[in-house]
Amino acid sequence: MTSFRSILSRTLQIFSGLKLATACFIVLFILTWLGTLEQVDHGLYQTTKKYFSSENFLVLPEINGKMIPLPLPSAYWVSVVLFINLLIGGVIRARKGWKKVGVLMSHCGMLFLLVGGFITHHFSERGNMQVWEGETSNVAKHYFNYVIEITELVAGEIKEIHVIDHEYLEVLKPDQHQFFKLEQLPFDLEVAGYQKNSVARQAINRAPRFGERIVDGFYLEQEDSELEAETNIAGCYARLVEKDSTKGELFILWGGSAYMQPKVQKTIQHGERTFLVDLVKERWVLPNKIKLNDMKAEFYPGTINPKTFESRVTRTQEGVSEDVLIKMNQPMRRDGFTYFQAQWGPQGSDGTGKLFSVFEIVKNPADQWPKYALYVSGVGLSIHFALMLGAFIMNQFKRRNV
Amino acid sequence: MSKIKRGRVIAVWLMIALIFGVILIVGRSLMPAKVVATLENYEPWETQVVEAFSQLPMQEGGRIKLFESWANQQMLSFSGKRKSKVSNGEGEEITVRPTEWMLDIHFRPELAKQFPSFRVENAEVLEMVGLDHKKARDYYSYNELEAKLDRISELKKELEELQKNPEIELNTVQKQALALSGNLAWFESYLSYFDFAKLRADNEKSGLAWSSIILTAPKIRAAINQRAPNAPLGREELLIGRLVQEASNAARYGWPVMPPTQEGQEAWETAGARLWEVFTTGKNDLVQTSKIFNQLEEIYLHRDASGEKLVPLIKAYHDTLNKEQTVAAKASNLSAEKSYLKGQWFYRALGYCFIPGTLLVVLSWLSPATRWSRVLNLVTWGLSGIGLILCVTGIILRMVITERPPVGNLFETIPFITAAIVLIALLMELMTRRGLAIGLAPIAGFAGLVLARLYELEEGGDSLEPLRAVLASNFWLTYHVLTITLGYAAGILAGFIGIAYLGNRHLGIAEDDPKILRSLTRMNYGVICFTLLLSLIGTILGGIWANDSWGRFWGWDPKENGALMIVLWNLIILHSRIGGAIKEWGFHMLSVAGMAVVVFSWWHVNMLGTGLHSYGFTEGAHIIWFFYGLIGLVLLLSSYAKMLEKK
Repeated sequence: MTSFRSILSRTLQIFSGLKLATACFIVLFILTWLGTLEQVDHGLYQTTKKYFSSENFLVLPEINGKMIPLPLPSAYWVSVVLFINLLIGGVIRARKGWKKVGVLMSHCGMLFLLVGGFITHHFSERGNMQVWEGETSNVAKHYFNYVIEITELVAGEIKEIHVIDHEYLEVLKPDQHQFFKLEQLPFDLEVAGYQKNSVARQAINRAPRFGERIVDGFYLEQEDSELEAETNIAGCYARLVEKDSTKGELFILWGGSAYMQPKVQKTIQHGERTFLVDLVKERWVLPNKIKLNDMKAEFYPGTINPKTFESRVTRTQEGVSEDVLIKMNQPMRRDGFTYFQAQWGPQGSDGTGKLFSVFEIVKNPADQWPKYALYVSGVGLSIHFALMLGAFIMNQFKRRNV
Repeated sequence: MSKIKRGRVIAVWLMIALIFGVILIVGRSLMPAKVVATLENYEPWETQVVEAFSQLPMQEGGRIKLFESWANQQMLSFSGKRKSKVSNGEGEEITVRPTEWMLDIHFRPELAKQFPSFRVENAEVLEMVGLDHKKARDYYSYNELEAKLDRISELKKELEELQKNPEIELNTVQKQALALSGNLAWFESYLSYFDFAKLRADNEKSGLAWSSIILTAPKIRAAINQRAPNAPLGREELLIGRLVQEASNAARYGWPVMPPTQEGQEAWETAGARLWEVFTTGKNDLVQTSKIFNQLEEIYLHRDASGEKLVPLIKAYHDTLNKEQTVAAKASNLSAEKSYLKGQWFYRALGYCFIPGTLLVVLSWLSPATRWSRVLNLVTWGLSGIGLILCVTGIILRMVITERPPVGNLFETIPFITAAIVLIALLMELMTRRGLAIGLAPIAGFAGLVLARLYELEEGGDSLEPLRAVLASNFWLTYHVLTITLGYAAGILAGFIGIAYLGNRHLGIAEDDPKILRSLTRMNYGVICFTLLLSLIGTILGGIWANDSWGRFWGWDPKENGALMIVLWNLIILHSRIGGAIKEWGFHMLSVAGMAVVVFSWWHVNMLGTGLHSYGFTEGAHIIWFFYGLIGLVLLLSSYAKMLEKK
């Protein structure tokens, strides 16, 4: 029992110690530095995923494209350790007293900030919505995630959409086959050759260079991931598998099919029923309908420097409408969703003619937490340093009088 | 010589070498170029003429500014200078400032072509087009480059083609070649700008001039429009068409002399653009346009006349512009800009206050804690105070001109940070009265304003340009940008104090007073605490702004990461100190290294070419590496000295 207590006490001592806090800061500092430099070669998305997400426990840094054989813990897990350290050492076991109230407050603020970061990392959703002037939308598209949508059509109208989620797709390797059992549909689906970034080419225009398989005159050419990962276009080969295991013909699904003629998507006639299979960015339906009434883009006179761009929208929810102005630095926050003015178009427009607006849509339960954390820690640090400064000045004053 | 005395002498010589090294490197920009050309019979412009032209308002780069401001910008980007000297062949040296240089190009093109307007940074640029060159880096006139204009133009096309390939990045020489070809094209536009006024000069008797032809534009347009469909243009129509095209092409680019006359139009136009519009769209107020053309023609016709004749003509044009709504609304901004340009506040703060102040500080090291050093400190205090006032005046005038908080772009961070460090150092001296912090004030002022000067030279352009949409928030510019920038200032000051500590400790500059090292440590501890406070609050405020602008609090963008690194570094310093992992020496070593972290965040991340905060400043890498090298050297020497101490 004594030894258990002593182990527990020792563990607590380590986890609440200043040495561990300092070590966490040092590792975080190095990771942040390396994670900044690596963005030049690998872009923000890949680097962030590598250094700062929970997916990796250890990371191997690269400088100028060369791997450094120095495994470092990822920032996410270092932050978890720091959180524990701060909670135990910085709050629970910290010396209390009015002189320490500032430090305690700042530690609490930081804990709150870390929790907010954790919630944002795991529970926030982001997407974008493009709406033309005069049109209405309530659908946001994810920036990165691709899903396979199997849409049942009845007389040309959408009856039901079945989705194979991105988390099942993005783990697939190009040489891997994956069978998806679709309980509610009269067939299953087999997916192969999934590529995170690809180009669907017509073989008639350019023959495959690496023996890629041609299907219906098209083949998928693998591309390196773009530095701006949201421009990656996923692609894969797929085939229907009947419930009796009979396999159908291969077809290509490609994320950029909307921009291609003829379209690379598959219409399936199964008995009396019609289905459309497509690989698209994940979509989510919002509780609000947004109608873009007017998009205003202004430039500084005689230049192409944007002065302002703003959207006047009508938001409708459950039959109740309101007019809202959304512009840079002035988002619309409603029902847990925030709508930001992100872009506008069409590209090359001088702000006249029919325009569209792109809103970034974010659902983040911890949206305003950093603000609260700032209030707490800012006040705490100010109290602490003001006390120290006061003591310093008094000391100087006394010394001079002596 | 005792160890202490030897240390002091070494410190003094090191510092003097550094100061003069910097002055030597930067001096080329701080002082006018030596005489590089002889322009036979060059007559300087009369002061009153220059004054009248320099005060003319114009709209360029999205804001209403003074002609002088525009000319400054142009001369800086062509030659990296704000003034130059020529000889008139009779042994007289004449200083040519931007307004005069621009007037020469517009009104005395043959002289301007002989003027060494183009700085060629690297002789390889000229080798690329097969031109003989002088020194590796030199100034060339248009006439000297004229022989290879075609080749330069071809090279420009080739390089622009190369640039389209995202996988190819142009090297420095290629970029300089591209910049030179761009400058040549602009220069040619300016040379031909007043060609439209030649019509009147050549037909003084008949009175034929564009100012009068403009009034007939509706009739000319109607005549052309009335012809039968698909009927070919007649001889007169073709002739007038050709004349309009030639005149408008010659004045298509350059000085925007025409305020808007159309309803809803905000942008000013060049004479050429307006001429073309008048004959093709007919939407402009012809009477007003004709009036301005007439005034410009009058100025051109009397370009060689005395100031008494010419100045009233310039003022008449100025009066016309003053009545324009866009100019009237910005009268106070223009007045502030005039004071800003005339005052050269940062330049004067550097030359009159911080450089002499730094030299006095260095001299005071020779005999610390004596009456002599106290007198020097007092003078340094005064000089630094005046330098601070000059610096702050410059910053306030910029705020009036731009109608925004003091920091809105990378250039503005420099004088702001400099002023903040000087102010904090002076306040610290007031509080401590130990003659320590006062030494830092002029050195920081000197370093900061030299950096400001270098930045202007590297970047050129208009540092008063209006803010882009995403930054256009005075609330956030005040709270986030100022806080984070003050955090940079505090971080740099901590580094300076660290250097002062290491210098005192190893070179024994002020070892006569044993309390001095402890005092420096206390001082630095306070500064580090403030660096943490300001950086932390600034970083979180930045996150909150990002959350309102881009929909996320944190995006691991390089600039955000840089700010976080400053916070983490200061946390490392404070926690290591509290935990006993470092003592005084380590504390100051880390604070010196912290300067490199601040510089990485402040400057280096902008050069990575990635992220949302990229300001496009990419050409000053050598300065940053020099700075890192200097910090590395300080740390290395200090470590070596510490090793010797142990032995």
